[in-house]
Amino acid sequence: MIALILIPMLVSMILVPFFKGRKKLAFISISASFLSFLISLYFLLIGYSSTQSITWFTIGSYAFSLSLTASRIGMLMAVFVSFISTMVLIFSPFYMKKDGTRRYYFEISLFIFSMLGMVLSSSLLLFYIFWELISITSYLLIGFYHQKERSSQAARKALMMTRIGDFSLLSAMILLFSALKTFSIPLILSSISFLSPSFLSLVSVLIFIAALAKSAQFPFYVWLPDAMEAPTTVTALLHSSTMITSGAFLMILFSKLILSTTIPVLVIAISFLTIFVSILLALKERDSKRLMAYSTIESMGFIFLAVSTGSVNGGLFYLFSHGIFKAASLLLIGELIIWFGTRDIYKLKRIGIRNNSTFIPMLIAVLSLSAIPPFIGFFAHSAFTYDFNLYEQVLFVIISFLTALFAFRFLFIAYRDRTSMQIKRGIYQKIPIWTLVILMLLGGFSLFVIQKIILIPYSFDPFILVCAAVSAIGAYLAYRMFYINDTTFEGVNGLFGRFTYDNMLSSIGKSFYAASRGVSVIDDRFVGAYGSIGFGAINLSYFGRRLQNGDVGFYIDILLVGFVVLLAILAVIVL
Amino acid sequence: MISLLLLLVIPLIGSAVVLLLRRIEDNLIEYVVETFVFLTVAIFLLSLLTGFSSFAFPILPLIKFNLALSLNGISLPFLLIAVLVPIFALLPAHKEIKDEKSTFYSLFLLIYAMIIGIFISSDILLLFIFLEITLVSMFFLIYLFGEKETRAKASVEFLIFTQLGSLAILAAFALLFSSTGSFALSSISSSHVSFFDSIIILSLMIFAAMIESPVFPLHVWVTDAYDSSPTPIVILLSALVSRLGLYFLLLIGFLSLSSTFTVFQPLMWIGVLSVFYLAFVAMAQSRFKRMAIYSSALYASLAFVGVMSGNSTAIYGSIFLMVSYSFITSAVFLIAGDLKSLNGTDDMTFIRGLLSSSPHLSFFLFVFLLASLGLPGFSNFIGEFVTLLGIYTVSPWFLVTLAALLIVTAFYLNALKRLAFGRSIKGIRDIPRTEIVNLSFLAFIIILLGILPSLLFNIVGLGI
Repeated sequence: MIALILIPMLVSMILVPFFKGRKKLAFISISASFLSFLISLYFLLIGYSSTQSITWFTIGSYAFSLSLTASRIGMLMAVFVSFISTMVLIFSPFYMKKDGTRRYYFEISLFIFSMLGMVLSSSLLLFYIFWELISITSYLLIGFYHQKERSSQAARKALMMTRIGDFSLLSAMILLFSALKTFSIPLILSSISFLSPSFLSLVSVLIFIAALAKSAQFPFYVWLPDAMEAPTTVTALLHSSTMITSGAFLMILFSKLILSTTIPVLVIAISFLTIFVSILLALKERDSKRLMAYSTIESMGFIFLAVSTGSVNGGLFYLFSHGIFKAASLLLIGELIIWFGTRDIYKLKRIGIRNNSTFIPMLIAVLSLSAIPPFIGFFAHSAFTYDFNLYEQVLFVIISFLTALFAFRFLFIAYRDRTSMQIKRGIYQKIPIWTLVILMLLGGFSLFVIQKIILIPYSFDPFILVCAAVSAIGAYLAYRMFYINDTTFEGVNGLFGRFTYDNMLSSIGKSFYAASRGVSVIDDRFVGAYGSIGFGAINLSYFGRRLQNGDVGFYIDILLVGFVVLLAILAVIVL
Repeated sequence: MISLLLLLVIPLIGSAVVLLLRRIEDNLIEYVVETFVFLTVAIFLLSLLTGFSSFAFPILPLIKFNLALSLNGISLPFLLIAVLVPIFALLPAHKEIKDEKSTFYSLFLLIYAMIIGIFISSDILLLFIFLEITLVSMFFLIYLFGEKETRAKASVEFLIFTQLGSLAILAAFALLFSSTGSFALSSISSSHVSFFDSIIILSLMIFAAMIESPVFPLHVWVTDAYDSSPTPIVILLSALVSRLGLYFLLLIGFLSLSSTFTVFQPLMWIGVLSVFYLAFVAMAQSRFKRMAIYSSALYASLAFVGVMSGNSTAIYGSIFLMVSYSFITSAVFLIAGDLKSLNGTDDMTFIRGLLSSSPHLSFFLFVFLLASLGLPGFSNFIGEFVTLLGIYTVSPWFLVTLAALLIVTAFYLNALKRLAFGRSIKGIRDIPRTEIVNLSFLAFIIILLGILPSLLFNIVGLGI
């Protein structure tokens, strides 16, 4: 039964290659993902729970089984993923006007299918299969504009970085299977107590690395800003509900295992580092899409923080709210790209883009991102910071301020001047954008409703109110600096900028190539040396042929010489 | 029940028919060859359903030498590639071989018969004779049909190296005969061989397997031999001949002398070293075919690691990996041939934008390169995963092999970036329809094995 959620996307994947025309293809995939949404919502509401399991193959006593299960977290994720996908797909006909639509809809259907499969699978093997499929499809989608040099580089970079994480997860899976002889995730989580602490720490670190690479956290974050070469609809999906969130979801899924070790300390340290690095980079970014990428990196850092401090469900709620406001802001940026043809916020300023219908949705998205009440981000912040200790709270106040600063910097620069252009939205834009705006406005209150499904502790204590106040100050400062005074703020270029850290990573890659050339030269010598054996043999055969030239006199000479040599040898032995 | 003898005899008759036809009709040859190959395939598929019946005929009763054909536990997966892979070599042969067709095809069918014979014979002397005929015929194929400038050197290197391997195998078989008094596999596996003898036998067999697979540092003949050969011959070499050494090792080492076999476990590290070394060398290649050569050797080394572990899970994985990569490597060499015929070169620095100019070719390029990377849904994922799971139980440190697979990812992605992405070059066409059919069948097989791996695992039984 649970597979019903997956089937529509699978059908869409199979149907897409047989149809032509933008409208038809969009209709197929939209109705598929909407169907998935309805089915998963229905299952969630009736509290459906079951597990479907098959044995894929067996080797000796090992059974390699695949299973899908309707856990609460999984069902919530399925509803969320299929909802955001539907929104993005409805927006797609507006954005994808020309090229390669069939390829686009095929790959995006595969993308959504894999993500839905991943959140529902309860066998680690099946989870890994979908996890890997997500990596590959996002590689294909990032390289969608295949004629552009930059998108091909970005695609390669993204897959290379995430492969490190993939292999890390593969190792974790091999370790766990060898120890417990099962792939079942619930079974693994319930047998933690039988495993030694050092083994658990090792597995946690491997899972953590996998999540870091997939969620573009430090030290892997560099692939995400470059992945902006993808179509903006893909970016919206990738950031809000699929690729990037799959890493965070892995952390949530294995939170019990990770929290049973001492690894959370490491997670907290790396998350704070990631958050500060991404804020510093976001503060000076001119490209609106790259800026959103840094914001996503920061938000995923929040989820990692939440998991490692113990508010796992709070992290899940933040994941949902982030998905909603990030999808909204990226779709709005997508509109700007189509209407004004640029992603550069200073160019947008020169053109002048502000009117009520462009500005208000983006304002709401930015308010949500900055966690100012009563928008959805505020509620999510109150849930995931629930278990913070004093140090974390102090750091988080600073983070709130800086987040508001960079978010409003973007808003006040890009939307500074009014537009003279008449802008009207079509039906494909209106539905997703206004739905998401309504959710950003009212979705926060779902925190009170969702308690019936999973328990999310939250509190509106002085700390969270201080955070909100500080965010407001950040917003006001941004207003003064960028709207009133028109400051050009270059921010901190620093160690982690595009031209230092990125270059360091690519020089690591290049050094591998240099090393490979070295090895190859050695190999050529090696092959050459053996090759001379071949030549030697050929030459020897020519020499041998000369010996047998049919001249009897020559034979007799050789015979005599041989006889003398033999005699000499005999003489040496006897004497 | 269909006799195994048919699988051996039909291609042999075909080989003779082709030789006889040379004087009468040159254009008919390809149809005749196709008829005989597909007849063999049909019989194989039919007997998969009805079952195989063994065959035995005494040749030299004095030393109990029989023409004995029967299946052992690991025959079927190898028989599968031996029967199926040469089909895919027919199309490039049709394109690339223009002169001396009858010589080519009669040798081709002879090799076809002999490789099938190797996997079904249950007498090691017979096995050795089949091996020798295969290798010598292969030498003639490379020598006669290789690229003009390099073929003499390449074929002689091939001959010297593989004969060295055969010599080792002959010595090992002679020693086996002297200590068990029989050539029959069944009686060898049940009789006792002294520890000292089995150490020598296994050392010789491992040496031969390292040459034929090939494994560093005995891989040096591969580059010239593969590079000089036309596509159909490379397919036979990389998908079939390279599997023989490990097949013998499994048969004699793991299944017959299993108690001594684990002594050689430390040699797994040579395999790991080989994987790293070949990954680095492959990374530096700028020609697609040479990259494919090294990566096919790399996966053979990975299978070598699995076989040497003596762990049954790893061995299941290695057998799967060998079968799966035989199909993938055939496809990759087919693509290399296409690149060369469409662009005039397979140098990756001169080709770009295939996604725009030849969408079908680039589709298959993505399918097969991503399949070799171990993308789930394709067969290689299962092979790699099960092998790694098996060698992990021997020692956790073997997971470092994953780092080499990361290097493989790097150079495959680089190849894809250079070939498929970018602006296209004017005047490059797409592959013809026949080629699409050929590659689609290969893709179908690796997807089938990737989704239903039990099809293959169920026909493997680790016993004689």
